[in-house]
Amino acid sequence: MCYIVLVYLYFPFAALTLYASLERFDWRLLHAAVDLGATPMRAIATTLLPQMRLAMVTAGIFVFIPILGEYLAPAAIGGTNGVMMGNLVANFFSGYLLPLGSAASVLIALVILIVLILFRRSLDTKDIYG
Amino acid sequence: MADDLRAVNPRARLFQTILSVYGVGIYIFLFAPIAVLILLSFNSSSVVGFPMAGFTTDWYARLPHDTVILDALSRTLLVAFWVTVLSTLIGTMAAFPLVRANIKNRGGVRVFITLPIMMPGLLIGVAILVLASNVLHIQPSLKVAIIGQTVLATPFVILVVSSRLEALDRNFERAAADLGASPLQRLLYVVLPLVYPGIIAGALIAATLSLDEFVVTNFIIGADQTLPIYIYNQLKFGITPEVNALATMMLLGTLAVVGVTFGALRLVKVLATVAKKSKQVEEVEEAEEAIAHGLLVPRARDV
Repeated sequence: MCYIVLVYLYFPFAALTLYASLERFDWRLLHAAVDLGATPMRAIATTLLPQMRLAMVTAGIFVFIPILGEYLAPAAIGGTNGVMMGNLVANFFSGYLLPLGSAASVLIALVILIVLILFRRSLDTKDIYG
Repeated sequence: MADDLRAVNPRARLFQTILSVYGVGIYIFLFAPIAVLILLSFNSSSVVGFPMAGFTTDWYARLPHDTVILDALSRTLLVAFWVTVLSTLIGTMAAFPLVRANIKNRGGVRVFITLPIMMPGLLIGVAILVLASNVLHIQPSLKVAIIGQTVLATPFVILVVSSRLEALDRNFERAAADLGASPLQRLLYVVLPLVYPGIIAGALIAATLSLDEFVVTNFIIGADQTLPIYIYNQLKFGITPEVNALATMMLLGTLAVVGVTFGALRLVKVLATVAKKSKQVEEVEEAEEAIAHGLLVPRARDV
């Protein structure tokens, strides 16, 4: 259940990023590829997908990072199986286990930082949003 | 375009059908929960669920009489007001040096300033909680909540305003300075009139963000409740139609804020063009009058 809700919550982020990229795609490239004898699948794989690559990575990051700290959705509808990292942190803090909670927070922040550094090129959203 | 694709690939029609079904499915996925929420707020049974017992607007009628909700509403509006004012002010002021100052490693500075957008609200919330209560020894309160939400909203304002500012041609200001405008006059008469759609959009984002912000606020607001926190706390005791009605009203409220602002922006634009046109007409009439009185000899180019 938690998965569906998270997909529901974060789907728009990914959709917006991908939409911005698709909107700038020159569809004549597909026609040109087909004209030159590519099968439709091959045309998509060689023209559309490479240009979408950056947007896809960005969309993935835009969704992945907030979910690392997701707290509300699992707390509201996750039940006992749906405890995520964010709930753990919240529980530590409401239980006055400040050092433990801080350590968990720093861990989340570190993962985010690593992801941001690894994919810093795709985060230059100018390429996508223009 | 669809037609020539069909010529290339005989299965194009099939794919189109599949994609249409998928698109409709996504819309249903996105809006079914909201539709159910709104529908059940009109259910006359106090048990939330289908089948509906009957149609009633009682739950809406009850809202204005619930003092807890009214308190939460006024608090939400108060917080939203201050967050909008503060973050718009801070964000706009921060956007100027970010775009124009000679900053070394501008990209890095920009990433750091906009980092709170990427950071999960949970981390910002607990960070502010620890800083306020354990280091500065300030009890969680409405003021801390305002500060926390401002931290959250300001980067959005900075992003929107600075992108607008980047598109602004600096030659306008140079021309104004050339004509003897003081820095203040340049700001008031040249820069702000050109940048204000960005500022308003930023303020709008800040307001809507603040109105339904839960995660950060929940940690730092203390005993007070804003509307999102009230709704969340109600969920623990089970969902009532009243909460449904309240959520529907919040949805409408947010949409109304956005709609009214965009409407106002459009109105300003229309009025501006009308004013410009009537001014031009006036000028033309004045010129014609002047010509008629022989004060101004029309040059060949003007005629």
